[in-house]
Amino acid sequence: MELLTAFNVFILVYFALLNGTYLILSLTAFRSLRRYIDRLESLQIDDLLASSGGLPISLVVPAFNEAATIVPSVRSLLTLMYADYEIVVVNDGSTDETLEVLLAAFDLEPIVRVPTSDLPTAPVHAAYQGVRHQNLVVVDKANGGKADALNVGLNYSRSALFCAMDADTILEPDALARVVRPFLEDASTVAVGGIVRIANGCSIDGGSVDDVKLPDSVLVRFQVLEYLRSFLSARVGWNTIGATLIISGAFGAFRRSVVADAGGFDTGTVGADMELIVRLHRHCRDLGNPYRIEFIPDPVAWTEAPETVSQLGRQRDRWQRGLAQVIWRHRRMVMNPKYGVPGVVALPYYLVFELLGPVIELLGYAAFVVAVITGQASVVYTVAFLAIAVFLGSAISISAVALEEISFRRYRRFSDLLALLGVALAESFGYRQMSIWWRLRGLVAAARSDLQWGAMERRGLGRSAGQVDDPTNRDEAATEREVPARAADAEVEIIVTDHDVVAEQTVPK
Amino acid sequence: MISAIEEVLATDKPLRRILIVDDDPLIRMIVTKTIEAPGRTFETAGSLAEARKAMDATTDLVLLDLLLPDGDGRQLLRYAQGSPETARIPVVVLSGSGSDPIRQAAMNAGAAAFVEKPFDPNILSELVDELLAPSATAPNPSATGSSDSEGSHGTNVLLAEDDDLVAALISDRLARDGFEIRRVEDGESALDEALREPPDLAILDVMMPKMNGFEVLGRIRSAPQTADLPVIILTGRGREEDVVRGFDLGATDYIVKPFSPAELAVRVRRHTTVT
Amino acid sequence: MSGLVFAVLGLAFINLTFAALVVLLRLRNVRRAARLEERRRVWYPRIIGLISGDPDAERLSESVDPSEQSDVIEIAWDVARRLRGGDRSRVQRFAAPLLGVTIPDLEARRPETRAREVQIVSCLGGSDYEHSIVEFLDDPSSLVSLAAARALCQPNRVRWIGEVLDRLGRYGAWSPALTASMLAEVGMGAAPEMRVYLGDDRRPAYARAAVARSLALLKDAESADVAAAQLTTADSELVAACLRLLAVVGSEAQANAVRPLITDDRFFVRATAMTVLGKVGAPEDADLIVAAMEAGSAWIAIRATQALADLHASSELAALVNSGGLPAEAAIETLYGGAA
Repeated sequence: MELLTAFNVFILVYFALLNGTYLILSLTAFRSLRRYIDRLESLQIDDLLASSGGLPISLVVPAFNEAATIVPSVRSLLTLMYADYEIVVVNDGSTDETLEVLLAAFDLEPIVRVPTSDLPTAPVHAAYQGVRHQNLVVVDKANGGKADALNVGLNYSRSALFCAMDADTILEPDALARVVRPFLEDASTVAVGGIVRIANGCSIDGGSVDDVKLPDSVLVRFQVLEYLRSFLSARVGWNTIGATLIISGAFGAFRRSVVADAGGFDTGTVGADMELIVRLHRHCRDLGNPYRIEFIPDPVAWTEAPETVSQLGRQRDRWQRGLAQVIWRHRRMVMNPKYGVPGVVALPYYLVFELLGPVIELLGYAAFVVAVITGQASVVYTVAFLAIAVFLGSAISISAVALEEISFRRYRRFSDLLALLGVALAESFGYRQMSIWWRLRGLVAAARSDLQWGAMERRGLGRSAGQVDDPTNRDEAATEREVPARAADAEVEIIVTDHDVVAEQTVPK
Repeated sequence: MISAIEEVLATDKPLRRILIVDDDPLIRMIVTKTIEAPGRTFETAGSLAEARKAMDATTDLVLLDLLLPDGDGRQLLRYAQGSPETARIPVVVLSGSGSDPIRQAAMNAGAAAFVEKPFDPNILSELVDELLAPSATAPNPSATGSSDSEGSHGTNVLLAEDDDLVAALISDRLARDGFEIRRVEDGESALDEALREPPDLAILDVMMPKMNGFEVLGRIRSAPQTADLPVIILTGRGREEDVVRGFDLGATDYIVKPFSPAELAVRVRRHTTVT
Repeated sequence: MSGLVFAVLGLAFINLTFAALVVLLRLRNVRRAARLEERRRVWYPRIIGLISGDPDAERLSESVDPSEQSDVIEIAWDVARRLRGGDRSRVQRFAAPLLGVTIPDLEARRPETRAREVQIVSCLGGSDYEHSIVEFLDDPSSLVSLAAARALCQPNRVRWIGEVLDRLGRYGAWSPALTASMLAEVGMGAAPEMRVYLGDDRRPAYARAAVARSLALLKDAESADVAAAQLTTADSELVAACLRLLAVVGSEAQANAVRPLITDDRFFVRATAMTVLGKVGAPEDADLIVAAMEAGSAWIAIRATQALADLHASSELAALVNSGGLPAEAAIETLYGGAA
């Protein structure tokens, strides 16, 4: 009995901390977001960008079996409102006609292009360039997974900055300009992430989102809410204290030299997007260089969310596995003062509340139910549990909607606002529990494959499954593939010149 | 007057002859004083009859009051339009009333600009400067479509600009000068419109969604029905490379933002008038 | 039991209230937006009409209701920003009597507010406020200082370039591309002072590097000698920036200063010097360039082959094509624009 009570108290404390932290993040986000928007306005950003001679940037677009949609995607990328950029599409050994379709649509001719960095990757077959669009380059390579494709893109791009995205991400016309701004303002900026919004339900015209509305599917509505909470509450909040640990794989801008210096994207993990950011923190702090990693909510990328329960479940499962791998790989950083706020505050939070959270939450719900059924639940306890574990969670979701309301207000329709609020009220009564279940599955899967963790540490053979960190992996048939072992490690010595020129020199090991 | 001639002798620039037509000598004097500058010489006329005598092929600019003792100033406009050497002379109408019908009537009769009295001296001065400036660097392609002996009336301009405010500034200015504006917000629509119903001139912003101004320009030049279409591109400040690229692709002229709607109007007029 | 039900209902009620507050927030925003929209609908055409020749800026100013003054200022700013010269003056004349309502923002506590106001007075205030803007260069907030600097970097404010240059040390955190393009906005009128700054070794090196970039944007031919003179300084960023400036404005006169740098210890100095030598060097330099190519470096290879192309060293390039390996690939890319 006492054990159960003690456990119940522990659960209450846990939920209080969990939701309490999220509440603090939300409150921080309120102030921060408002201030950020004022700041943007005071910069007169259009002016700044128009006259600044914006920095050249390469868009790296990994594509695997995207024959149906790659041409409209690339077309829309060609029309971004940015003066100086190139598009590097990396065909990751597609088994459909992705490459053929590109060759035909854009009149591509084979070229010789010298890679300017030496990240080890799967073999590259050929490079092509658009005749009419000289800033479009397509690199054809053997399959190696998204991280590997990004590394190829990195090797073949020529700008000081690159933007990693998914083939089906839709960028708003000013997204590039906005995501580059922090690099202009602070030369020590290393990575910038923008907000990702859910395109389901919106009308899309010729590659851009015209009318923003909520989708009909309740499942997707829950996800819209989650994204709002995750981006506007959590990421803005974490960013305020300099603890941005995740930049979405669907849209992130990086300084090429630093990423190459840190080793590029890791092909051995499922959560390559978070893994890179955490590694960048580690790398820069190890070197003692001043650096900035930012999340900013004004550049927008749109992406499709899974519409069925099974797809969604698999996605969340995969995300949890990725999280586990990242934290395990960088466990040295946890509670390590050398790694500042990311190591001492953010990573422990992710470990305790995001990674282990599903276990504790599940046990918590179970214990609650047991206590109620066996009549041991005091009124105080029951009310406290419901308040802290259930209603507070809803309140936090409602505040995410409020955050959207004080900032970007993309959902103009009043009915959409009501729908979002409805979903926020209902979230803790079912959806959250489902989400816990999926994440638990992912955690178990990660724990069971711990035999492979050692292998991943060696950075040798790894397992990756096609577009693994594509959160919307629509390729149902993607199976686990073996990735060829990395080429004998050539050491890449990167020298950062001034802020914009990248210079590398490979020193054979 | 003498110093003006000296200036001309010193620099070999031709004298600019300006004719001021107003029955009020005070106005004539004020206008003269306002736009006096080296290289300019002035003549005055107090009536339609005098004005007809004074105006000829060597006149470079006419400032015309609508209310004259022996007739309506518009008669002089029509007189000027009647003969090729005088049709090209820019005429600035000065009027005590700026009401829309009068303004419209003046523009329809072929005025280059309309200034309401009492006028702002700076405005008038700048306007005259612009109208007297030597023509733009690019050669003037013949205008497509109808002959333009009636000035800007009915001249169709396609404006491709995504910034609503800039579009409004341009449309307002051009509409007052009698042009008909079709506005589109992105490159794709610009191309569609230009090919479907070729305008007399196109103004293309360089940075637009869906298709940028350069691509539109390139395609316009390769289509037979618009190959000779005069195109003015709008570029941002400090983008020299855009200007060069524009001319490479066949642009007729360019305007840098921040810009002057009045100057744009003058250029539009220039490129849509048969010389 | 009823207590429990009551408590749970109470909690649910709290959440519902919270949700209702958000709805009220939306309603407030919608109302505000509608009011703003209405004002815009009225005032944009009026101000645009001013530009096109409607007279009576003064009477128009007088008709502005005090409650809408700050919105009208905002609209006037929006319009004036897109114009220049006489047209902008018209809007300035209209806005001048109204500025009083926003001037106190210059002393606001929040830097964002001050920065915004600096830009407003810079655009709408004409030359009257220039002296205050110069003072804002020294504002404790770098956001405000940036706003002031950008406000002063206009062709018609070239007389203040010295003040901006004096504070360049403050903007070290910015990307030099930003600083450089800001300075270049002033136009060629600023070039003489910038040349002096570039040659002044008491100034911070990174600021001088930014100035060099700016001179490159302006394509200022007269700065070639100053740039060449800096090539012997220790600061690599400055050397690289001056090399890049020479790539744009250099000539044979500076070739001797550039030549030794293709074997400099610092990698990117070598790489940039190669590019410059291609532009200012003599045909004999082709051999030097080939000799300086390095086995493992793609960047050097690319820059070297491009330099050879600039020198029209076709035989050396042909030899490289046949040599194989990285130099061959780079040569092919340079020669055939990438086409295989």
